[in-house]
Amino acid sequence: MYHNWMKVINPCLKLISCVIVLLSLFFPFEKILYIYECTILFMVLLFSDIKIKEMLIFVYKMFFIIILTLIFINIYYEETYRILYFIRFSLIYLYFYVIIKSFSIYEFSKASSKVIDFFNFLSINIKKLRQNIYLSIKYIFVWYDYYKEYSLIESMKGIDYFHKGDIYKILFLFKNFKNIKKDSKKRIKEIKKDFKYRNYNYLQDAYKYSWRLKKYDYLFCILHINIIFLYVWRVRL
Amino acid sequence: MEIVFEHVTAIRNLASSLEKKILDDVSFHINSNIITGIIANDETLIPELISAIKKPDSGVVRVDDLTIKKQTRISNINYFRKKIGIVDCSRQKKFLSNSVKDEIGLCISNYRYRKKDKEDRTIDSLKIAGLDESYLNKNPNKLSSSLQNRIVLACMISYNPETLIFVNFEMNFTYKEKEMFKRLLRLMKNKYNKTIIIISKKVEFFLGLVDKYLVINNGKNVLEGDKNDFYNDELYKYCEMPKIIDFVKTIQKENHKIENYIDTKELIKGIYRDVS
Repeated sequence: MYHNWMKVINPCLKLISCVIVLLSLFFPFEKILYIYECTILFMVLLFSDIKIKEMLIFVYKMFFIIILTLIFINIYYEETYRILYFIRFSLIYLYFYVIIKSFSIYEFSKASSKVIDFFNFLSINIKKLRQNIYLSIKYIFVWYDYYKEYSLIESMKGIDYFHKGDIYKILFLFKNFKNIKKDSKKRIKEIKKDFKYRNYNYLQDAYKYSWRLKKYDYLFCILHINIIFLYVWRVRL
Repeated sequence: MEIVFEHVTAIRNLASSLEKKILDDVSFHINSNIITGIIANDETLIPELISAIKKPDSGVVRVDDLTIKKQTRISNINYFRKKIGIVDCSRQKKFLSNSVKDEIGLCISNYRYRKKDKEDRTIDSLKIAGLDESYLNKNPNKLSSSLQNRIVLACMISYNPETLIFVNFEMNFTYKEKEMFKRLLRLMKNKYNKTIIIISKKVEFFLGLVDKYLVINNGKNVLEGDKNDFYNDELYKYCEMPKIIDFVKTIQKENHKIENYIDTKELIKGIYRDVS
């Protein structure tokens, strides 16, 4: 059966792997390290159930970020490696896309709170931490929903910013920013109340299965830690 | 205003895990100056396609002379939208302003009507929707849902569109209110030659009002019928049977000579005739 294997892997490990991949961007160029990392990234893309068309649409939508990376590559890297680094950057973008797709908001909040809790010297309450991370991510989605809703109502009532072009979208945002913010805050407060009184246990035990480490979790972890190991072996030593 | 759907395919959340085909190669024709009822799974998509808020992923939507394709760009969109009015009662968020007066005024000013006519138009449109002037300064977001539906209708009537599209309009109305709006819609069709489209899952509101109905199930155009075709058993595979039809059918099974009535008053007369 065609299946997204990334969904099975432990969310905490996925977060840590993202950090390792991000760190690797600042490593100097080394042949074996480069090939090894690219194959891992490519394997991850291969094991996900996301279609190529979907990925291409994502790349198209990230047009401005790709331009920014091109500028970054031009400044930071040597001329001979620029194309290679561009390939790696695009693979990393897709890798992040696959990983974000494999997360639910709940999983992400739980995983990130667990990772933060590891360095929790101030002993902040982990439940509150988890809830706040969840709500802050949820806020983005709620905000976007209201943004779409307002645009629809406006276009039904004769003001069509979306048909005219991108500049008008910014104008629309300026005009309705306060209202959208107000409505989304209200919605988030409702969700918070829900957690307090109705879904009290929701953030505590929803998906128990994915939190215990299994064989493929260890494999995934070793593959990523090898990147740092290779860096130390090939570059530092 | 004639509306034609030719092999239209429309997808929600394209290229994501929530991707869903709402219309799959659907073709139908809506004549001008009639009331058409549409029973569909996703009620909000069809009005969006007709008013070019969303464009079809493949196929063509024709509204009068204008053709809407995936890549068409309509230069005079405001002129086009002025012809179409949407009363979408299924949405949670319906208003942008904090008073009824501003809300209706917004519609009027967007379509560039004269400022002189603004007040008269707002009051007239409120009266048509069955409300008086006392509602002008009230906050529409804090009113009851049936009153909100009326205000949405008033907003739409204020700019006098040629085609009216109602989505789940009968929601939250009492029986008397439903009958009142049925009368209003009939008047609009007969006296002012409006083309009216009603999209809902409840057939009860269609009875005695609609000239033609369409059923779109799982993205396919499954069934079409006219106003005398409400006793078709196939229709009730896709929606709930109205109580009056259910009642008549059970009586007919017991060998009583009763015709296929749609109106309750006529049904009562028919029962008297059958008994005597």
